[in-house]
Amino acid sequence: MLESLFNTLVPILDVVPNELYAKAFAYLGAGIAVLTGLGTGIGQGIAAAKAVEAVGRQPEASGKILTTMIIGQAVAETTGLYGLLIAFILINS
Amino acid sequence: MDTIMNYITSLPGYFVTSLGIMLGMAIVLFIAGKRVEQLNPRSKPSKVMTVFVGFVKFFNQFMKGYVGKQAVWLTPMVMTLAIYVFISNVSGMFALDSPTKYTSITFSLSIFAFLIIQITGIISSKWKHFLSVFQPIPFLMPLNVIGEVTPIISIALRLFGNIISGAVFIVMIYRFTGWFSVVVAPAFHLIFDVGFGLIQALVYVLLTVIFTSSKIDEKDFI
Repeated sequence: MLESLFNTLVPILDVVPNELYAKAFAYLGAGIAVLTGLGTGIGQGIAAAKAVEAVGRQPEASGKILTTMIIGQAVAETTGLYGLLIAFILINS
Repeated sequence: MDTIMNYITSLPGYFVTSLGIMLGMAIVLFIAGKRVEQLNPRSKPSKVMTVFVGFVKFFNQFMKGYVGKQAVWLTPMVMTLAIYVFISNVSGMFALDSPTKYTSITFSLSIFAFLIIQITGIISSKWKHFLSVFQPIPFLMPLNVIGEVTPIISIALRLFGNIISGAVFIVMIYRFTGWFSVVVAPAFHLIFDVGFGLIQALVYVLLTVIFTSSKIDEKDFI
């Protein structure tokens, strides 16, 4: 049974590495690189949830809370952008 | 004259836009400064003058709260940076090639911010600023040095990444909706160009000011 498994795997690994093959893996890597947005999305969502909770506890301070939340999310977005940057670099070269 | 015109028209588009924004800002703000000097304190100012005076007053108050005595020479530089970054983020909406879409401009702005932070430290603490990397424990010196160099990369890439992702998204909207984009595109321009442009300019200025305020010696605060 192991022999039949091995016999099906060998043709897959038997490719000639050429230009199209390299570009295919670059595009695949670009797609995987954007997955860093997962952590960014969760983190920014939790920050927004805490901000909404804080406004609910004290509605008079909603101006300051809004400003602080916007600044915090803009700083936390940087790590998600690093993944997008790697994707751009991979696609273009 | 001919070689000068050849040189200017062979520059890349975003560079000419950047120079144009700087020239426009210089002329408008210089004229506004002259007219504010000639304002009569007793008569009511016009609406445009009120906007300028209010903006400068808000900035003065904001900087004085963070940096104390050094706000005398820091405020004009930071205010110019804020206006420049905001105008060049929004200029994608006016069919110009926005300068902050390119890493060369963004890294230059980030190096400028780094110099502001370090020079404020040198002016405030004279020579002890270079010993501040050994501050809590001398063992932590590599981490402190990395913590001073990393804002260069992070500030530059934050501005660049936000503006270029907005631009790529809007290009795809124009391509996919064709003639229908007259209805759909203004909303996206408002969110991406104006909204994110304003937020990123604000964050850039605020981050520079906060880093600066951590380098000031305690004796300078009133």
